[in-house]
Amino acid sequence: MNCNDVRKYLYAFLDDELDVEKNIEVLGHSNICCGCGRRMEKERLLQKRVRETVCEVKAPAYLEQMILKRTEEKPNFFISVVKKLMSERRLVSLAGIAAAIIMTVYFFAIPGNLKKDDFLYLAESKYHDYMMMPQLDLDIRSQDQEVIVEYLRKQTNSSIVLPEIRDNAKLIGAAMSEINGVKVSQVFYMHDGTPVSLMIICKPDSGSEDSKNVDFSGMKEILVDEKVVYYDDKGFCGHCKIMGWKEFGNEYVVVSKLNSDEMIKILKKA
Amino acid sequence: MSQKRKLLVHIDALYRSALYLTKNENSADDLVQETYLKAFKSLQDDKEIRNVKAWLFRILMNTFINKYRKDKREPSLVDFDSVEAFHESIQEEVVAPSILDGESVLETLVDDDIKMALKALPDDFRMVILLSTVEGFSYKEISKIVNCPVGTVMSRIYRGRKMLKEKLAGYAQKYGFK
Repeated sequence: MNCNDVRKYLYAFLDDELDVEKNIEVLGHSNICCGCGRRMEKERLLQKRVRETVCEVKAPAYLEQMILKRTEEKPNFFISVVKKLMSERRLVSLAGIAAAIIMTVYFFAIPGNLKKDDFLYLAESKYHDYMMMPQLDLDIRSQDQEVIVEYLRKQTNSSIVLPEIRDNAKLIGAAMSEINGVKVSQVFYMHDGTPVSLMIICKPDSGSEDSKNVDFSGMKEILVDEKVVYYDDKGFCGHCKIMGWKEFGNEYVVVSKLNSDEMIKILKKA
Repeated sequence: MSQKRKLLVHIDALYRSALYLTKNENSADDLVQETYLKAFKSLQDDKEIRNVKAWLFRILMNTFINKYRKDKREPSLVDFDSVEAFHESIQEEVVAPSILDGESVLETLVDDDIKMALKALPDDFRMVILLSTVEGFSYKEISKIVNCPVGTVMSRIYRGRKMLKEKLAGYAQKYGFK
């Protein structure tokens, strides 16, 4: 193990997250390398200072009493009425109305918002694997577009036409995941040493035949109603962000992509 | 000891995190109260809770994210453009040793410098630093608390500590260190 390796494992070592073997290697190196040993000591000291400074804060004495008092409070009038309603025969009709509201909200309002978070986590997770390893965990590795398209067709029951990409980008493979029963495929390209992914999300209700036709062939940018859509200009950790978001008749959603404007940079102009 | 009392032994830990997250004593009070009210409510379900402290922190973090970030329209997510790739940052540090490596620099900094530097971090980074450095949770526990992959937790810890050092280095310069 050399100084660079120790630097890489420094925090994991200090946080006691390394396995025994790596732990011994880091210790061994820092014993013989003054620079690394000193850096480690400084880092340990800094963490200790942070810990001690934050731990000086104590909860005010009244807070515990306040919490206990609030737990003993009687429910307010509104809650009492709701409870009364729920305990009587109206329960069945109320449950029916509630279910209808939930279904409406689920299908017309909530899915996009909830899934955006899930998809971002997924995108982020793959991207971080690449940052940490650095290696992409792909289910299929191929530069052949037809091979990837066929693989996606089998996995998602969707006929997918991938976008045309510029010569300085290359297809490297695809990975499949599932979030709450929704299949998500990530098609990965490499551009300027950076992985770029196009996420294709398919609803779980697909039949045995090709039920969808997802066509990216003319795509320059992600468009919704002929306007370029940027969902957000920031990501969960700074490495990933959703570039665009589009729903097609509530059947599938397209999300693109992670790092800066890479997805747009690699697309050929239609 | 009653179940409620068992949960309340963690009140100091929850409060200090709440204070550093919200940066406001009144909001910290509210956040901790809300956390405990939710926790007590869950206790009624007779669910078995293996790691009480981690479970309480998960409620606290979720409440913070849902309530306080919504209030602020999620401003604290990390600005993408200001954060370079994680991999690059490791390389950078090789050629850019910190001013904090110097003799007695750290000793010169006062607690207020550390408090300020911590509070100046973006929420996501401050959260993982509080959970790892202060509360001593494992990366796996933190990933469950903040609901993101372990790789992301590692990256945030790395970047957060680096940012913290950069901020402290800035304060050290004011004391005349170069």
